[in-house]
Order: sequence, then C-alpha cells, then structure tokens
Amino acid sequence: MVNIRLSKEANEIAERLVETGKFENVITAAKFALAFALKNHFEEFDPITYTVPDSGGNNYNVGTVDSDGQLAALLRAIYPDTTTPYMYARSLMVFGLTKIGKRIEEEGMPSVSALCE
Amino acid sequence: MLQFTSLTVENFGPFKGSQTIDFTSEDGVTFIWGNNGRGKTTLLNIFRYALFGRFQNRRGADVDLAGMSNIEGRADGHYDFKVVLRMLNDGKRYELTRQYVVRAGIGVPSKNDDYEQKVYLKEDGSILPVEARDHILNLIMPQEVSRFFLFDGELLQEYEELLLEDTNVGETIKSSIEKILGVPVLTNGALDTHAASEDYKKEKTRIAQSNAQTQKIASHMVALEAEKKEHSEEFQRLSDELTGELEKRNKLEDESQQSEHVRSLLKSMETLESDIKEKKDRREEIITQIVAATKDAWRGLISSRVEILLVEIQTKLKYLEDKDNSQKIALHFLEDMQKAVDNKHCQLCDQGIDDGYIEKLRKRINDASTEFSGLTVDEKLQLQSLRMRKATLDAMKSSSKKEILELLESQLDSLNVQIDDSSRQHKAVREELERHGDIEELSKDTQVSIKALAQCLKKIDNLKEGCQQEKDKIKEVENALTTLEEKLNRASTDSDMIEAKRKVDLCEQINDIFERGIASYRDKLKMDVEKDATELFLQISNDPDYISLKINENYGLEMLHVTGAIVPLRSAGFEHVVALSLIGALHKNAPLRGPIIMDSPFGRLDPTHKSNITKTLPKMSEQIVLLAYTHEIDEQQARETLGMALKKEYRLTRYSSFYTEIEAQMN
Amino acid sequence: MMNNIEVEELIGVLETIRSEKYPDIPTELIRSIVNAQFEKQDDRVQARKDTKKLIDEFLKVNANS
Repeated sequence: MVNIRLSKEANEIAERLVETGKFENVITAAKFALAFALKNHFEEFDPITYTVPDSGGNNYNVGTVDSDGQLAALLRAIYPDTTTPYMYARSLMVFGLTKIGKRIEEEGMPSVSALCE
Repeated sequence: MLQFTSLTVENFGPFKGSQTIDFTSEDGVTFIWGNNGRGKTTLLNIFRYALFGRFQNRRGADVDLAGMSNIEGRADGHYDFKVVLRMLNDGKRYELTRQYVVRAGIGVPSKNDDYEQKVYLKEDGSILPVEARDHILNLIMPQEVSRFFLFDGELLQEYEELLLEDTNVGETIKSSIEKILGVPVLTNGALDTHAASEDYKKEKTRIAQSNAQTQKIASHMVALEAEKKEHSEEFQRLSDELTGELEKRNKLEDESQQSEHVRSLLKSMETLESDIKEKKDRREEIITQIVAATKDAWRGLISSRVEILLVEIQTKLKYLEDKDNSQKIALHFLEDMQKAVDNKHCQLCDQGIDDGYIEKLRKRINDASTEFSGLTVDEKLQLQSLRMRKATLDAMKSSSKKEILELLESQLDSLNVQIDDSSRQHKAVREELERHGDIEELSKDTQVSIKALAQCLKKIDNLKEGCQQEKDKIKEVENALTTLEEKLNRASTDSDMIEAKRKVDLCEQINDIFERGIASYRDKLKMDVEKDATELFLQISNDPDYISLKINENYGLEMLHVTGAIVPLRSAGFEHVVALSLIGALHKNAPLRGPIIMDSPFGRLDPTHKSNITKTLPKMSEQIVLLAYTHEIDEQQARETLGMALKKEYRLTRYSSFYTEIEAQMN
Repeated sequence: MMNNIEVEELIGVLETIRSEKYPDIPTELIRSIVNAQFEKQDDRVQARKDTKKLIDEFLKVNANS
C-alpha cells in the first residue's frame, strides 16, 4: 500500500484538530488518533471486520506518514498476523478520529492533554 | 474722581426696550436685587461690557452676539443692543455708548459677523473723535484700573493668585495695582529723566572730544558708548525674543495641558500594543512547543497498551520457553536412562538392572519422549515471533507527553485570555482617540508639540544666558566708562566742559529723585494699603484671633494670627473678606477714585460676616453698586444697617419669561 | 485715574526726597515733570520729549549760576 486515504469525515476531524494550531498537519493528528484508539478502544476495534466508510479524504503517502517504518513495526508487533499493517493503520486512524469526533461533538474541542488521559 | 451717574441698557438680554439705572450723584450704596434667572448675571456682563468692551473673562468661550438681543425685541424686529454709561470726572460729563448694530444689508442676524460694534464717547455733550475717545478712556478708565471697579468671581480668583508670588497672573495684577496707585508716573519719570541725563552725557563727551586736553579720553568714551549701545540693542533684541519665547512656552504648556489626555491615551495605546506583541510572540513560542510535543505524542499514548501487550507476550513466552527448557532437562535424563538400558547397568547406584526392570525403563523412556517432546514447529515459530514482538514493543516504550502538554496548554489558554483583554482595551483606547481625531495625526502632533516645547525651553535657556552675557558686557563697559568719566572730570579745566558736567550732574540728581521716589512711594503705598485693608478687615471679621493683615511683594494680603503666625489655609469665606478688604484699601489709597460694582459678595459667608460687610460697604468707596440675590441678605436688616448710606434700590422684576424690568424701589 | 488732587500725593513723596537730598533742584521742575508724565501716560514718546524739554529749559535758564 503506497497511499493512506482517510474517510471524508475522519479527514475533516483531523483538519479540525490541525485548526487548533496544536497539530502540525493531518498526518500528526491521524497518528495521534491511531494511538488514541489503541490506548482507549483496543478491545472494541476489530481490524478484520472494521470497514472504513469511504475514501473521501485526502491522500497521504506512506513514506510521509511512516518515514522510519516504526508505525508498521508497531502494528505488526500488536497484530502479529497482519500482512497489511498500513491498512490496519488506516483503519485505526479513521476509527480513532471518529471517536475523537464524537467527543468533540459532545463536549466541544478538548485540550490535547485531556485526550491523553 | 470718577463717578457713574447712570447706566442705560437697550434691548439687551432680558432687558427689553430701554431701561435706565440711576446712580445718585451722592456718595452711597445702590442695591440691585434679583435672582439669576432674572438677569443678574447678564447685568454683570453689561457692566463688564460697558467698562471693558468685553462680556466675559478672557478664558470664556466666544459669545454669541445674535443671542444677546432681547427675544421679545427680536419679535418686533429689533436686533441691535447697546449700553450707555454716563459718568462724571473732574467736573466733566461723559457719556460712553457701546453697541452692536446689525450690518447694513443683513435682515436677521445669525452669526457674530452679522454685527458691527460701535463705540462713542461724548464729553460734555460733544462726541469725541476716535483718538481723543481712546485717550480719554485710557485716562479715566484704563482697563488695568477699571478691572478693580468690578468685584466679581473672576477678580476674586485672580486675586487669590496674588498670594502665589511666582505666577504670571500675579504679575499682571501687581502691575495693575501699581498702575492704580500711580506708580507708573514715577517709573516712567525715572526712565525719561535717565534718558535725558544720558543725552547730556553724550553732549559732554562730544565737547570733550573737540578739546585737546580730553580728546583722547573722550574718543575712547565715544567708542565705548557705541559698544554699549550695540550691546544694549543686542540685549533688547534678546529680551524681546525671550519674552516671545516665554509667551510661546506658556502657550505650549497650556496646549500640552489640554492635550494631556490625548497624550496619555497615546501612551496607553503604545503600551498595550507592545504588551500584546510580547504576548503574541510568547504564544507563538508555546504553540511551537505544543506542536513539537503532539508530533511525538502518539508514542507516549500507546505506552499503556504496549505495557498490556508486553505482559501477554511475556506470559506466552514464559510458557514456551519453559516448555523448551524442560525438554532440554528431560533429554539429559533420557540419555542416561537409555545408557542404563543399553548397558543394563545403572550409573547412579552402580548396580546391574534386571530384565524385567529394563522393560519398565524402556516404556518410561518412550513415554517421556512423548511428554517432553519440546516445542512443535509452530511453537518454535511462535517463540520466534513473540521474541521479535517483545523486542519491537520494548523499543516503543516512551514517556507520556500528557504533563507537558497540560502545562503548555494551560499557559496558552491564559495567554489567550490576556491577549483578548489587552486587545479589547486597545480597541477602546483607539476608539476614544479617534474621537479626538486621526490617530496618526494626533501622534504626529503630540511628537511635534513635545519637540516644540523642548526646543522652546532650550531656546529660553540660551536666550537667558545670552541676555546675562550682554548684561555683563554692558556692566563691564559701564565700569570702564565710569573710570574714564572720572579721568575726564579730573582732566578738564575748560569752561564748556565744566558747564557740560554741571548739566549732567543736575540731570542725574533729578533722575535720582525719581528713582528714590519709586521705592519710597511704593513702600508708603504698601504700608497705607496694609493699614487700610487691616482696618476694613477687622470691621468685617468676627474672629478675634485674626489681628491684622500683612502685605507681600505682589500686594497679596496674609492674615496674621494673634500668635504672630501667618494663617496658612484660608477658608473661601475669609478669602472673600480679605479680597474685599484689599479692594477697599486700594480704592482708598489710589489716586484713582471710582465706583465699585460688586456681584453677590455675601454668598459664602455667615450672617455675622454678611452684616459686617454691609456695614463696611460705604467705607470702601464713595460709590458702591451691589448686585445681590433677593434672599442673600436680609433686605430689611440691610436697609437698617446702612441707614442713610443706602441711596437707591432696584429690583429685577419678571414681566414675562423673556422680559425683565429694572424697577426702582421707592424707599 | 489720577486726577490733579491725587498727583499731589506723589509729588509730596518726591518733594520730601528733593528737599532732603537735592535742595538746589527747584520744586516746580519736579512738579512739572510729574504732570507731564501724568498727562501723557498713554503716549510715552511724547512724555519723554516733554520731560527732556522741561529739563533743557531749566538747565538753560540756570546756565550761568
């Protein structure tokens, strides 16, 4: 997989996070959301059955997203059976962003440190 | 002695038509009762206008002439208004008319330009030409003097400044008082006689020059005189420039005071701007730090999950490794057992083994091989995978960015609030500034003013220095001239020279009489004024501890306490009383005699003082005109107190909203 | 303003000085200078001229004493 494409909604949520000025770009926000999902929603998330709703978001080159390959290594370590760590990455990103999006809707834009709780 | 005989007012303020107040030709007091709404203030303005040709104090706003004419009169088409003041002075009758008439061609006047002022002075019935008019008015009623005819709040305030010896206003009043007291006649006499003696000195020098004996000395003196003249002219030039600059400084300082508010607003704006910038810069820094933190935050965020997974992995790993290990240990034993079976001999106990037992052993070996078979291929792969995952996950451990983000975000929030507050304040300041004008312009103007004032002050210092230098040079030259003069006097035996010297000497004596006269007269006057003021004061005051008044350089009066100390802060009421005492004393001592028109002198005083002042009024001047509120003093009591001294009474009576009649009261 | 009666007071002061220090200067001269100054109060140039004239005449008359 050469490109990661988020869903339209997830991309918008990531862009909103970037708009706070606290995230450098959508990729940083997406990676954050991925980690958020792993931390808080690991059991909920089934990488096999989870489907990303659409591919309406922007395209992100894997080389940019994971320049040192650490992300792929991590996902392989977590999900040892996967052969498509970047697909898992994409799913986790979208999943995480969606969760964050719901939180924004319910409580307003939280601080980043609150999201780190 | 100047005496007012009557005042006619026509179509002015609430005074519709032509109305006349008759002052008697006898010495005494005239009361004019009225309340403010009835035209008392306007009447005061009318007196001011009649005496000075202006309506209100110099700091007042421009008057609206069109609004001065009587409203009901306007309805009848009368827009002109005038006052006529009739006076007696040294046996001559004068009639001063001041009026504003609408310019030809204008129907209904709406602005000041639509009016034209006309002033006439009649002497014994004949109108005087303009120069004569001005000359006579200046003689009988110069403004510096006539200001003391009108005792009102304005004069009281200026008078209070006399106690402050350094003010500009104090100086002006002082010179007015000295003018009233006749001092200029002496000072000018001294100046002019000095000029005359200078002329004679020059003549003497001229004679000396044509005389062989004294020629050299005289020529030197002429040269020195020329030098002295140069320096004097330069000194005059610098002095004049200095006066100009001092005026300029006063004006700039006034302006600066007025623009004080604008300047402080500008300063606020600048301070806020730099504060906001500083905070915004700081905010940028913090955001940069936050962005750096969030970039790596994902690593810290997954730490907890990584921990959990590592524990799982560790458990599995342990199982597999244990399994692997137990196989290794078992293999050891199996080897030994096989050997024992093969050799039919136990190494451990060093004994032979029965065949029956050997079968058991062989079975045990087979079972064990199954039981401790070790890891399967899959398990081996799994072990490898687990080890790799563990290694990867171990390397992923990272501390959480939560704490640092909390700190930075809280700082950011706080800064945002501060920036908003400051921005709001900045906006408010800007808006207020904009009400005063364009901000750029105001800022520029302020800079220009500050610079102008600084330059002016510097120039003043330079000029003062220059003046002093010229003064010093003049003194130097004068000393040299004196020395030469003495030399000349010793050297000259010529009769012309002797005669010339005699003239100079006599002239100098005449001058000296005037010079000494000035100091002597001033001192005498001051003492007389002090004495008379004290007498009046003691009649009015009811505080037995205040025993006298003491006069200062500027004719300001200080109250002396029985202990000998000067009473420091006087109440407004006593200020009034002291001022009245001074005015009375000036009138008594001045080679001027004139009426005093007083506006509500009783306002701030208690009944005892009011009664005392009433009693003292006739002693202040021959002719007193008093404008009072109807309940300011008890009318009946006032009449009784004054007795024969009360000559006439008028009442400002309302005929309609815009029409007041000055009614003579029959007593 | 000053009238003839009040001028007397001023002249009185000068007279005291004159009689004490400069008895040779005539009273009349001083009086006439004061009057000239008083008359021409608002015309300094003329006042100066008049004063000079009075002194000139006095000195001329007394030239040979």
